[in-house]
Amino acid sequence: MSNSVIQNDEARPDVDAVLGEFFKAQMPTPWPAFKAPLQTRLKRPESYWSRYSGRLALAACVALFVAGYITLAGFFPRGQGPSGVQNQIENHIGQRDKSPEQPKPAPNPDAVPMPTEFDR
Amino acid sequence: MKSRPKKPAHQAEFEEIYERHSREVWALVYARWLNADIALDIMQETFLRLWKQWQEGSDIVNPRAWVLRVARNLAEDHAKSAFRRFGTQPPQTMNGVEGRDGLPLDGMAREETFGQLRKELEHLAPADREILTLRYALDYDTSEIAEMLEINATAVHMRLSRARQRLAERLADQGVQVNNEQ
Repeated sequence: MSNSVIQNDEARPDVDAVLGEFFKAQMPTPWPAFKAPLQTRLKRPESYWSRYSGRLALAACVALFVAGYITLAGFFPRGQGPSGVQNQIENHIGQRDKSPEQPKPAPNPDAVPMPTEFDR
Repeated sequence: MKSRPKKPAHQAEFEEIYERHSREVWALVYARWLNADIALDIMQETFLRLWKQWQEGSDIVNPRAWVLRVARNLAEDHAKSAFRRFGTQPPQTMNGVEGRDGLPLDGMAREETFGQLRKELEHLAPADREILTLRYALDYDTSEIAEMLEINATAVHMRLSRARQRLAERLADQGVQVNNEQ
């Protein structure tokens, strides 16, 4: 850049020249080129399948478990144990024995009382 | 003003727009702040935003009007926004911008004149500074300035003459004698 503003001080430089030099001096030289930013990988929107696959897998596992339980329960019905004892025990677990009490034997009037020490 | 296709542009097309309008954006922001570095930062931020808009496929019919509007907004927000500190990009993104340092001693007198001129420019209305910047930084004529700022060419001419006259008088008051004869 020339220094015409300084050199022409005596000759009263033109205001246009001063302004032109000033504004052009402010501009970046060389003019910067635009640098495109690196492509940032945008997060792809999740598909319906990928979003719910975990939940679907869990639901399938639960359904399989229930179906298996029901199927196996059909092969082994309750109350048909080998001796029936087990079933009987199971039915009475946690219950009091409600069998009727044995009546006390009535005293025998013909019976001779045994002498006691006081009778002697 | 021309309108461009609405499809996302290729980089070459974008660079063409940058080459055509980036100086205008810089001049507009410079006229607001009288700071070349701020103007450069905001100019780059403006085009970065335009680039992102294009990448996302946004419909920008008139890129020139778009960047000028965004640059004006950024310039106004500069004082109060976080952009003043970091912009929307990490600070190191701007590291490639070269400064304008290294002034030799023989340029000190010129710098003094420029300093006085800068002070006087600060007293002008921002609209007058816009006209002066476009006229003297970009060598735009009256009609080009009028088209860009969307004002009357006669008004541009009058304001340009008035601003030039005022500057000449104030510089003369400070001992910097300049001619204002056209």
